Amino acid sequence: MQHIDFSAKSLYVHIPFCKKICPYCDFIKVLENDKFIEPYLKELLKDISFFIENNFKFKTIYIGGGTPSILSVNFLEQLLLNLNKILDNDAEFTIECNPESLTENKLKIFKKYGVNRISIGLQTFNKNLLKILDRDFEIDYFDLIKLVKKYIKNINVDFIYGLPNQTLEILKEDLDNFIKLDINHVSLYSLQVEENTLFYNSGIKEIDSDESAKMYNFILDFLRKHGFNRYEVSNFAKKGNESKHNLTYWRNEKYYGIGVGASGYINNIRYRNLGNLSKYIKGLREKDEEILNLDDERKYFLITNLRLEEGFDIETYNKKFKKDFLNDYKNEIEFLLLAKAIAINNNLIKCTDYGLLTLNLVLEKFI
Amino acid sequence: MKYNQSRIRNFSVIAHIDHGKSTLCDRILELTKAVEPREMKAQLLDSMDLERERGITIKLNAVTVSYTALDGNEYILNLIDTPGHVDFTYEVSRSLAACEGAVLVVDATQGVEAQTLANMYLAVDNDLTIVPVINKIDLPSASVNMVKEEITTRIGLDGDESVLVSAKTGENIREVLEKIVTTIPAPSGDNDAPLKALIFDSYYDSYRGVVVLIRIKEGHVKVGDTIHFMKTNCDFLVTELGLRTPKEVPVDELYCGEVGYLCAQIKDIHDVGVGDTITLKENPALLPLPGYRKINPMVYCGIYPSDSKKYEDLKDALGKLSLNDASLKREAETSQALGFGFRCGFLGLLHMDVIQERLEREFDLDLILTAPSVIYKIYLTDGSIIMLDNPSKMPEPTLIKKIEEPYVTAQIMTPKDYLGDIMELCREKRGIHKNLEYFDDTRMILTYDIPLNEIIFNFFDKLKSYTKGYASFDYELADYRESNLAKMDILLNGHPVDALSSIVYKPSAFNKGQKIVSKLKTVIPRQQFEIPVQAAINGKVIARCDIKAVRKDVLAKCYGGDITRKKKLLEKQKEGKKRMKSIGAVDVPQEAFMSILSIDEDNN
Repeated sequence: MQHIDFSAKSLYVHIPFCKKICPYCDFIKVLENDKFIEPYLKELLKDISFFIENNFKFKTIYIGGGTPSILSVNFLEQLLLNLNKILDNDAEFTIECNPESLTENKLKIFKKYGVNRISIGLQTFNKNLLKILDRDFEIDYFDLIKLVKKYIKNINVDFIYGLPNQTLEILKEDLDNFIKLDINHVSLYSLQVEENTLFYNSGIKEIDSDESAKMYNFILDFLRKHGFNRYEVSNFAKKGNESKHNLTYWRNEKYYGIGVGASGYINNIRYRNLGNLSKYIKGLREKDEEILNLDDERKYFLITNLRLEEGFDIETYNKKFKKDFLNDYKNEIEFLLLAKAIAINNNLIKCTDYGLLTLNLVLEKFI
Repeated sequence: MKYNQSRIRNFSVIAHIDHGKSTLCDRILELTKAVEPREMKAQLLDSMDLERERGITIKLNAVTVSYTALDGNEYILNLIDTPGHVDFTYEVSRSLAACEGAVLVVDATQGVEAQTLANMYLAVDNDLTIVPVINKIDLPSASVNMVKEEITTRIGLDGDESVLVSAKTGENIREVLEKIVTTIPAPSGDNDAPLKALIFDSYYDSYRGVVVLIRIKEGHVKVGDTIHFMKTNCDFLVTELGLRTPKEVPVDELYCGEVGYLCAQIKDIHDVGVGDTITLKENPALLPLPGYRKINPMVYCGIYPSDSKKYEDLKDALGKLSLNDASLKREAETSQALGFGFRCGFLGLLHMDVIQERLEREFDLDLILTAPSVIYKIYLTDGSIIMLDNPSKMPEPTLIKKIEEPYVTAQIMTPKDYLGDIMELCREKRGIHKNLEYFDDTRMILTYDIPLNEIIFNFFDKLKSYTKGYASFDYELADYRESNLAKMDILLNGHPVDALSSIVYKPSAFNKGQKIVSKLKTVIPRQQFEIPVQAAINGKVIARCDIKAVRKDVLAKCYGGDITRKKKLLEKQKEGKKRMKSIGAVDVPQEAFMSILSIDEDNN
C-alpha cells in the first residue's frame, strides 16, 4: 500500500476536524462530527500499523490539522499510544492545539505518550482582530501557556500579521505579549487570502507588499532584540529550540504524511493524499503523485533550503546534482550579489534579509 | 452561364466605413442564389476571421454571380468588394481598375462622409459609372431626402436617382441589380485581340501554387495556353481557369470582359505582380495595361519575436503574408534591445494592427512591436539626404543640417457643434489650418495640413471621442516640410534602449518625455533594485522617474504540501519572465515597447 523509504525520518499525521472553520484557513478540514471521527481514527491506525510492522523509528512526528486537540481523551490516547510505538528515542513529537480545546487532561495524555512539543494557534492577542478571525474564545492565553508549561516545555505559538485593520501598534502589542509568555519558539505568517476561504469570498484583500515588508522588518528587528533567531522565513526560535520536524521540510528531507490532505516526500516521489474524507474512511487511499527527475529534485532543494537563514552548502548541491552552481549561474549570482539579495561565504550561499523578503525573485533565477 | 460580352457587368461596391457595403454584398449573393441560405453567414466575402470579427473588409474579394433581369436576359455580374478604411485606399483603387461601374453606398443616417467622397473621387478617376445607393432606410433616424440632396450637391450625381435600400432587411436589393444592369456599361474590348488580362489580386494555395485573380481586358485565355507575365517576364502553362461564385467553378476558357481565377503551377508569388498584365506567349500584346501606381508605406515599425529563437518563423510568416499583400514592406534589422527582427512598412495603423494580429493568430507568434514611425528626410551637412524610418538610426545632431517630416492634407467632416474641439485638437497636433467650408446646413469640412506623425498617435481616436463619433476624416500625403525635431532616447537603469527611441517635436519634448517615463514606470515590474527611467535628448536628461525596488514577494508559510504548489508558481513566473526582454539587467515586458503609442490615452 505504501512505498517504503527507510531514509524518511519524519511523519506528519493529519486530523481534519475543527469545531468551526476559520475564515482564512485553506487546509483540509471538516466540521467536527462524531460519525466521522471514530472511523477516521480507525483508518489512521491502519496506516500507522504499516510503520509499526516495518519497524519504523521516526525522529520527528507532527500531528497537525484541522484541530488535533479537538479529539477526545479516549481517541487521543489510542492515537498517541500507536504513534509512540514508532517514535525513536530523543525524537521530537509535536501536536497542534487550539486554545479552546486544550485541557489539562489532554496535556497529561500528551506527556504520557511522549509528546514533547506543542504548537498553539494564538494568531493575535487583539480582541477585535480575534473577532474578525472568528476566534474570540474566552480564554486567557497567559493562563493557558502557564498550564501547558507544567507538562510540556517546548512550546510554539502561531501569529498572523497583515490582518485587515491591523496596525503596527497592534502588531507591537502582540509581540510584547508574546515576550511575556516566555516561550522559545514563534511562527509569524502574513495573511494569505487563498481561494475557497471565507476571507476570499468576502473580498478581503492581502495588505500591500510594501506594508507587509514594513511589518515583517519590524518583527525581525523586535525578535532579534529579544534573543530570537529567524531560522526560516516565518519561524523564530531561541538557539536550540528550532522545530526539527519543520526543518525536514526546509532541508528537503524525506517524510511520510498520513491522513486526508497530508503530503509526503519519499524516494523520488512527492505526493499529496486527496482530501476526500468519505473515501478515506472507506479505506481508499488516493493521492496525487509527482515523480521527480533530478532537475525537479534540484528545484525543490533550492526552493526549500533557500528559505533557511543558514542557506546551503554549494559543495553538497554540486555533488547531489552533478552541477557547478557558481559557474552555472554566474550572471544570476553576480546580479543577486549586486542587488544584495544573497551572500556567499566559504562555499555557503544564503539569502540576506532582503533576499528572504524577495525570495521569489531570487528563486526564479535558479529555477 | 453562357458567354455573352454584352451581358457582363463588372462593378465594385464603395462606401465610407460601416455604411453597410459588406451587408449589401451578402444580400446580392442571396438574391442571385450564389449562396444557399444554409451556407450564408454574415459578411460572406470577408473571409478572414479577423475581418468578420472587426466588421471591416481588408482584402478585396471578387465573386461572379448570374442574374436574370426584368428584361428576361441572364447577366453575369462580377462583384468586387472593397475595404472602407483610409489605410486601404490602395486596395480600393486596385478593385476599381477591374470594373466599369461602382455602387456607391451612403448610410441614410450618416450621409456623405469623408471617405464617401474619397472613394467616389477614385471611382471617377477610373472613369466608372456610379450607381448611388442609400442604405439603412429602415432605421428611424434615416433622413433619405437630406442624403439625396447631399449626393446631388456634394457628389454631383442625381440624388433622386439613388436606389433606396435596406441591406439589413433586403428591401429593394433587386432595384440595385436592375440599376447595375441598365446603367453600367458592358465591358469593352475585343475577344479576338491579343490577350491582356489585369492581375488585381493573388494568393498562395499550397496545392495549386499561386492563384491569380484576373480581369480579361482584351482577348481570351484557355487551359493549356502558355502565358507570359509582361512585367516580371515569366512564362507559365495554364493548368486551371475558373469563376468564383463564390465557390470555385473551373471553366475551360475565360473570355474578354470576364473576371476569374487562373492557376499555372506558379511556385513563387514574386513572379506575380499585382497590376501586371498577362498575355499569351504566342501572339502577345504589344503594350501592357496601365497597371497600378506603386504603393508606398506611410508608417514603419520594428517587429521582433519575443523569443529570439523564433526569428526564422517570423521571417517565414512575413514572407507568406506579403505574398498577398504587396503593400507590406519588410527589411531585416537588428536591435540591441530586441535582437533580430524586421522593420516593416504599412499603409497606416490599422494595416499594422491587422498584420500584427494575423502574425499572432495565423502563425502563432508572440511578438514585440516598437512604436510606429513615419519616414523622416534628413539633410546632412555633407549635402546628402537620408530617408529615416527608424528613429534609433538617427545620425549625430552635429551631422544634421535640417530634418523634414511628412505632412498630410486631412479633410475632416464634422457637425458644426464640434468645430471648436476639432480646431483645438488640430492645433495640439501641430496642424496648419487651410480651409473651412460648409458642407450643408449643419456640417463643416475642415482642411488641415498635419504632420503624419501626429496623425498616427491617437488622432483618429481623439477625433472620435471629441465628436462623439460624428466626425469623419480622410487624408492623403501632401509633402515634406522642415520641422524642429530631435531624437529622444529612453534610458533604463542608465542604458539607452534603442527600441524605445522616438523622434519628437522639440517644443513638446519635455511633456512627452515625462509621459513616456511615467508610462514605463507603470508597465515595467518592480525588481530587486531601483531602476531610473530617463528620457534624454542629445545626452541631456529631460525627464526622469524611478521604479522602486520590490520590498517583499515571499509567501509566508511553506509546509509540505505548499512546496509543490510553490514550485509550480515559480516555474510559471519564470515562463512569464522569459517573454520579457532583459535590458541592462531590467526585465521589460512586451507592452513597454508600444507604450509610447498609448501615452496620450491617459489624458482622456
